[in-house]
This record gives sequence, C-alpha cells and structure tokens, in this order.
Amino acid sequence: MNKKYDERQRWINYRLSHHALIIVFVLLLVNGLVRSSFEVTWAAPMAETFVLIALPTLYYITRSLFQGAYVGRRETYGKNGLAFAFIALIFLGVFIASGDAFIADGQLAQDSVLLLAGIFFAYITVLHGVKYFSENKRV
Amino acid sequence: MGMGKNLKMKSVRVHKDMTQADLAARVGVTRQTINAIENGDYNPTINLCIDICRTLDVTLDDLFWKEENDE
Repeated sequence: MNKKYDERQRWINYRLSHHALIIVFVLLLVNGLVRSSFEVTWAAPMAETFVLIALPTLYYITRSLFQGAYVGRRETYGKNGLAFAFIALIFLGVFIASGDAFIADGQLAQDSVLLLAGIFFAYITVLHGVKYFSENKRV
Repeated sequence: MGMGKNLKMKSVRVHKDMTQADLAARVGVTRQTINAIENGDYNPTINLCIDICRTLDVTLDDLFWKEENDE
C-alpha cells in the first residue's frame, strides 16, 4: 500500500488515471485517422509524441492537484512548484538559446519539444502556485 | 459519490475544539479528505471511520449511522 497518499487521494488518482488512459486512446485514434485519412502530418515525430503524452498528463495533473490528490499527504505545493519552475526555466532557456524554429514546413518542428516542455512545466508551476496560495489563504 | 453532509462529525470535531487540519493530522490523512467526508463528497472506508471515531472519542454509530429518515 502506498503510504504517501491517503485513501481518498488514491481513489481520485485511480479514477483520473482511467480518464487519462481513455484520453490517450482517443487522441491516438484521432491522430491516426487524421494522418492516414487526410495524409496530414502536423508535427515532427518527437513533437507529435510529446503532444499526445502531454495532453492527458495535463488533464491528470490539473484535476488531481485541485482535488488535493497530487502531492501526497504532506501537501508540498511550494517545494514542488519551485522544482517545476526550475525545470521550466531550463527548457525555455535552452529553446531560446538554440534559436530553433517552433514551426517548420507547416508543422511543429523537432526542436519545438523544448518550448512545449517549457510551457508544460510552466503550466504545472502555475497550478502549484495557485494551489499553494489558496491553501495558505484558507489556514 | 455524494451521501449528504456529515454534520454530526463536524459538530463533534468543533466541540472538541479541533480544526479539520488538526483532525487530519491525528488521523493521518489530508485536510481535504476530512473536508470531503464532512461535505459528503467522499465515502470513507471502515478503517478510516474507526480512526476518526477513536480520535474524536465517539462510536461509529454516533458519527456514521443514519436512520432511514435522516437527510
């Protein structure tokens, strides 16, 4: 038994994991249909993979965080938020320093993953910040 | 998963001069879990019910038994 989370948190995480899995299936199906039926390539392979992974992950993290089930019993929103902010800054910094294009030949470029990852972690940072301040305000 | 507010639990907790955070720390869950139980948004397992009752020094019947005409 996972002692990091209490029983309600585990129940929420199981439920949201199931939702996220369904979202993955739907995204893969839609992506496959778009690619095969319309012969549209909207992103480089790595960027495409990242988007397909990131969307259900963001769904899971957003709902889990706001239902108080993401960070375990110790509710370390501040520490986690700072860690995610650090990671976001690294990705965004590397993307800016590289000067690579976000879109090339009408599709998301291979190196757009750096920017997408930066935005991904920045979003999670903001979520943690909102949760941190809302919890502190409550006390 | 609503089951109606658990006003008995809130009443006993307040009577014991405990906050949701105090009770959560004593029982070993998050404050939001205690909040969800009191608001009827989460149906706790029997083990958690027992832990809460022991902490508040009441019986399971006192906190969790509902007559048919309750609510």
